Amino acid sequence: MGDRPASERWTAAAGGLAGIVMVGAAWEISGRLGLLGNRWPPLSDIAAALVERRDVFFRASTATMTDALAGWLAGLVIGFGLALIGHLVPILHRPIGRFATIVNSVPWVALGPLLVVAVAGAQRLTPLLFATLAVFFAGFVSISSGLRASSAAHNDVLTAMGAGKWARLRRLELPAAVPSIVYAAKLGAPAAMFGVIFGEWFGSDPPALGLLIVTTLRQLQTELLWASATLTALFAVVAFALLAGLERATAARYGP
Amino acid sequence: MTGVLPDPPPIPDPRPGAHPAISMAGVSKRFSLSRRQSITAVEDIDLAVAHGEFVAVIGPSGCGKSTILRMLAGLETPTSGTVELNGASPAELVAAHRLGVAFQEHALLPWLSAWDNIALPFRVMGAKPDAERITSLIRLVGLSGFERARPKQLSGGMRQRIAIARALALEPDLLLLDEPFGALDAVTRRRMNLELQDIWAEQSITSVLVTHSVDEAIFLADRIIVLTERPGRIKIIEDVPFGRPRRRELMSAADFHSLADELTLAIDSGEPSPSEAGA
Ligand SMILES: Nc1ncnc2c1ncn2[C@@H]1O[C@H](COP(=O)(O)OP(=O)(O)OP(=O)(O)O)[C@@H](O)[C@H]1O
Ligand SMILES: [Mg+2]
Repeated sequence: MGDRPASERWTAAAGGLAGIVMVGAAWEISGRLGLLGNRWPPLSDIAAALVERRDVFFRASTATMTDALAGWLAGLVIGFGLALIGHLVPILHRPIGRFATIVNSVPWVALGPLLVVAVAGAQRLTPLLFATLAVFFAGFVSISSGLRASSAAHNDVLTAMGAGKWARLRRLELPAAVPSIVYAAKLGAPAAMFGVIFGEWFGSDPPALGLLIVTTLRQLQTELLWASATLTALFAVVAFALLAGLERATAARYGP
Repeated sequence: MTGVLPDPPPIPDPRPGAHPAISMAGVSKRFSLSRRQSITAVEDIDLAVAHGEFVAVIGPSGCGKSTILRMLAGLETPTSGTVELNGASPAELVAAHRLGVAFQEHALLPWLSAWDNIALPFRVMGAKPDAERITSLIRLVGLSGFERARPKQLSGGMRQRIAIARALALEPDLLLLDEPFGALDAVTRRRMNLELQDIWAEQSITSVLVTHSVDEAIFLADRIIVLTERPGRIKIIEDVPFGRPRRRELMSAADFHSLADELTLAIDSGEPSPSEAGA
């Protein structure tokens, strides 16, 4: 991955760029010609809508990204914390795993209204909570196995050095788990976006991207709907790509 | 001081020499492979190693050499028999951070530089790494200039040398080396042998070296233990007659070669060598 020659990387990047340009062109043309019906606006109209209503989209994006970031962090911290407790206190490992699985399998469609009704002030927190929920489980599973990923030979050496539980955790198990933590963060980025958007369907104030998607859908404001959806997808893809880069960097350092 | 008080528990004698550095008595190790199947790796090992003695263990592949080292390091418990290090269990020496090991797999931490890998024993102990000592160890194993390199940027032989430096970092009471020069070419290997010989002549750390090289065993050790095919039993214990410090020229001496031939034959043949028959 990281050790491909530069020329090859450039070729790959150029290829990717060409692909994007082609898809964009196809989109623009089919939208202009109405090939896919009148609910499929050309790319330029979407861009125009984005520019025209930029203050609305800016506020919506800020609200959505704040919750997504907070939920992503909270989900990772909770997933990491659960994994760490399960690792350090072996008898808790299975119960924690069961608990996490149950929480993870509660249907969201039931949970959303329940939260809004049951918890005062939950409306404000719903997007963040769903983002957290979307991130923590994959984080827990990935980091749990990451903490057990250190090799037998490394563990033997630490044992022979007289390492206790904490020294082993700090010097061996945590560093060995770094790739799994970055992996969890990478998978968590689009998941957090998805959780936030879903949570915002139950309402948000100020109107965030998720709410914009529902309202513009109801009001058949096609360009604005497409603009909101495109922006959401863009944020998820960019976050994922950035973390994939971080993943490559850590793999080079922490990998075997 | 009448007889009414119970006898006090025996106090372990801390003086070196009160106990042998290593004492193995009737040690056997069986591994179970499945419910009904098990294999005996080593059998009936009786061995006492004095403080400051250098012992080499040689024998055919799979005869249990690594198993013996792992029992000494407290990583395996014998199925029967006892292992004592200076009169106590291996666990006690390990807990006191007085054991140095370099095993067949170098087992360096890939995310640490050469310097930090050698500093690891200090940090595990909760102590500040002794920069001067680490630097001198790096010089000793010939890796000056590579302090900041990570294991994957180094050759197999360089990694093994760092593993040896790491084993020596805390000036251990007991040094266990399992094929530490296995990945080295003959020339570097010989140089490392000379260097280890010098380190050892200076500090006389009690050492057990597992090796496939008879020459290496003779050059470095005071005594050589030859094991039989699995299950490994002690076939011969050979005293090495050469004094110290040993020089490079020793390796081309005639009596060095005749001893090497004799030991090679002993490893190879199913029967004990004639000179040792009945021993
Ligand atoms: N954890 C284990 N479980 C099962 N069998 C084992 C285990 N460790 C070692 N053995 C077996 O014990 C025997 C001795 O192994 P050991 O690694 O001690 O040999 P060795 O003399 O070091 O060999 P080599 O010179 O090839 O390194 C082998 O047959 C091996 O398969
Ligand atoms: Mg071995």
